[in-house]
Amino acid sequence: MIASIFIIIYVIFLGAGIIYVVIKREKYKAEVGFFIILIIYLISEVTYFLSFNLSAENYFDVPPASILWYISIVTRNLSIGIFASIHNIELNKDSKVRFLPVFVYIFLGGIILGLLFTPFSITVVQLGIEYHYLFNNNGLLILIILFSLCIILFSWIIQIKRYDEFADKKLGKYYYIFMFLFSLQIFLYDLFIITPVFYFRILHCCFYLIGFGYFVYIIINKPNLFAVFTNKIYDFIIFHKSGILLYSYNFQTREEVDESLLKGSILIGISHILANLSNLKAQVTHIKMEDRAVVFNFNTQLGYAVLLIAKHKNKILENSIQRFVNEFSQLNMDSLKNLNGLIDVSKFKNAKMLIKQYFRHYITEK
Amino acid sequence: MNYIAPLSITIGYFFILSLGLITTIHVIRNRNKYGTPFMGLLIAAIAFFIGCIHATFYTLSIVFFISEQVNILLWKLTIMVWLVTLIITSILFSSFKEYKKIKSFPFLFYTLLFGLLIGALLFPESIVLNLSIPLPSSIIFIDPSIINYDFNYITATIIVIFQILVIFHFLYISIIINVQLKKKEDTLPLLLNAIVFSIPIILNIVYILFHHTLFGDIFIRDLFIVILWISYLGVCIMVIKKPEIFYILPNRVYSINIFHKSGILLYSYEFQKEMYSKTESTIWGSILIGLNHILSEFLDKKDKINVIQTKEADVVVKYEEDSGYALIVITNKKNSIVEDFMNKFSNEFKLKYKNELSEILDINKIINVSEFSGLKDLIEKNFDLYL
Repeated sequence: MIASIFIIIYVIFLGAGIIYVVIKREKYKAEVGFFIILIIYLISEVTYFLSFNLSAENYFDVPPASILWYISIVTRNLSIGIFASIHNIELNKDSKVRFLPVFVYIFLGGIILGLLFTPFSITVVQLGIEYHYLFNNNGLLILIILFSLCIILFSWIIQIKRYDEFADKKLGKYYYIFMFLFSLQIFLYDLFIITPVFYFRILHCCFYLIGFGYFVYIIINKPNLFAVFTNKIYDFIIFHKSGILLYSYNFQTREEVDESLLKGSILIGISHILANLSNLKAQVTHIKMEDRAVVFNFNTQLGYAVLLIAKHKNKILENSIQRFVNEFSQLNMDSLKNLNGLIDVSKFKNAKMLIKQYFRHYITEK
Repeated sequence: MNYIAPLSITIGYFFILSLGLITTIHVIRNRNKYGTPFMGLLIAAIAFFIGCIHATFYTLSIVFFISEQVNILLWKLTIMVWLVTLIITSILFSSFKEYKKIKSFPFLFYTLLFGLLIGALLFPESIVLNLSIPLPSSIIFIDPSIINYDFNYITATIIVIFQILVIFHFLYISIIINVQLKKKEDTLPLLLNAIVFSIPIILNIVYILFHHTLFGDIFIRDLFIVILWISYLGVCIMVIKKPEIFYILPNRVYSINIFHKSGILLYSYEFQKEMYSKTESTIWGSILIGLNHILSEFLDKKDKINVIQTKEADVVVKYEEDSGYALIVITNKKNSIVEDFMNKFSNEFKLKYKNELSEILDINKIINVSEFSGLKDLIEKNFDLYL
């Protein structure tokens, strides 16, 4: 009965979230690899919640109920592990031990899996209308708790230490609240498996649903969630091969600027590099600095180049620049072909519209 | 009781142990000869794990009977050490391709499988001691043919999958490097190493698969250790005698340029001159002038250029603010090997030309670039692997 209520609420949240994302899909951007991991995460979350609630109901016989319980443990470790890994890796981008937490989670997860499938690791007890599960293997129970503790500990340390890495500070604040709900439901789950008290299960499910509902709220409110997490664009500059600045936009002030941040010698330097526009082999594609990256995209036919100064270079950015260049070339083909004599750069003001179209996720709140 | 077999294994063990210790110490002391110190340390770790730890656990678990629990524990440790050795070897192979930026994906699999194995080994029935004689009451020296270990299916499956993945990983890296490098003959030692490492792994897989048969238990297990130790002997001799065949550099360096902060080129050295056409030099010249303008802007500032990527090459930049110059290396692919060499070279350059550099710190002074003409030897010494 209680399981049915939880499942119904869960399906409502999930359905609402999925329908919203599908309808507004053009707002959401993610790299293919990241998207696949998100799908795996979502499937494991759904499987966990359904199997965890159904395994307690006695309308199943003991063997299928036990299988559901096993599935719930595996998918739970998988889902919290994936979530924590994504969070930790994204925020830890510049760390030398970026993948260390993930290795710890996988290692502990592997031992849990290995122990889980040893015979008689769990005993099923029926109390009233519900099944309860007792761990025969203390090592397994300790490892599950250790796994949860590692996830909470590492995630909080990274969240606090790397808060400045959030490109969108409001998103960072949302994450604090979500991390609190996430930790609370993990803590309640641990209490439930140590002392299989019914109330802990109910509390765990309640906070799980609140956390899930809150996450759906973040997704709706912050469509840039998957694209910009820690990335940031500083400047967007269009140069002609003659060295003339055609257009420049500052993402921090959200204003067009006549003089870019790249001044004097840098301008001369870039102009020298752009002079080799016709040579495909030597075309500069990317300049990596200590705290930012300059991404280049050349249009050799029309003789101009786009420079984007961002925190990190990634595929989403490169694809957006490419699409921008394609459309900008189409819109300004005639102006660019006849660019000689006195140059009127005001013709290229239409770049602002394209920037807002292709880089809207990066025009974030200060 | 037949004492020839246990005695032979014990003598072999002491030989391998001594060889392992000698090789480990030798490699640690000469770690710079193995491409980079990191690679040297990985080779030393492999030599130590196989020659000292694995050989010790293996010998103790098959030529001595201590007690049922202790022998099973030793055998489990033997398996774990073997898999750890394979992970370290995989890191070494991966570092040939990417050095410090090793792809984490295969190692996530290894970590998962290793975790699964530990979980499975914690189960008491995962490995069972099968003794052909009644259990002895005290510690005895035993004929290895009468002491056997049975694996349960889960444990055996995990070990087999792990080792199959490792073989594929070794071969994949060797093939990828072979495809990427222009000089195919350079990759032959790597391929040879992959094959040498794969033979004992294959024998171990065959042993796990057929260990229930008498043939598997006695013959293949012994064959595995004999082949492993013979390969180990050969590898150790080569490690000491010919260190250069244990590394492969997956990139090429085209040129090294040193620019003064005023923009003047202090020194330029070109590797593989035949690969450079005149047109390419002109293009690079123009790009370097541009780069130089950019550098002069950044030299006293916080945010500096680390690397400039072009479609065909990476321009790696190292600033020396105190000495007022920037070191620029043009390579087909930037990696940490190049960065390490640049750091080392830059330190030696600063030391050797301390007076000359301090004199030209004032940009109004006339710079005599001929003072740096002796840099050729220093470059050839520090970048000798790329010559």
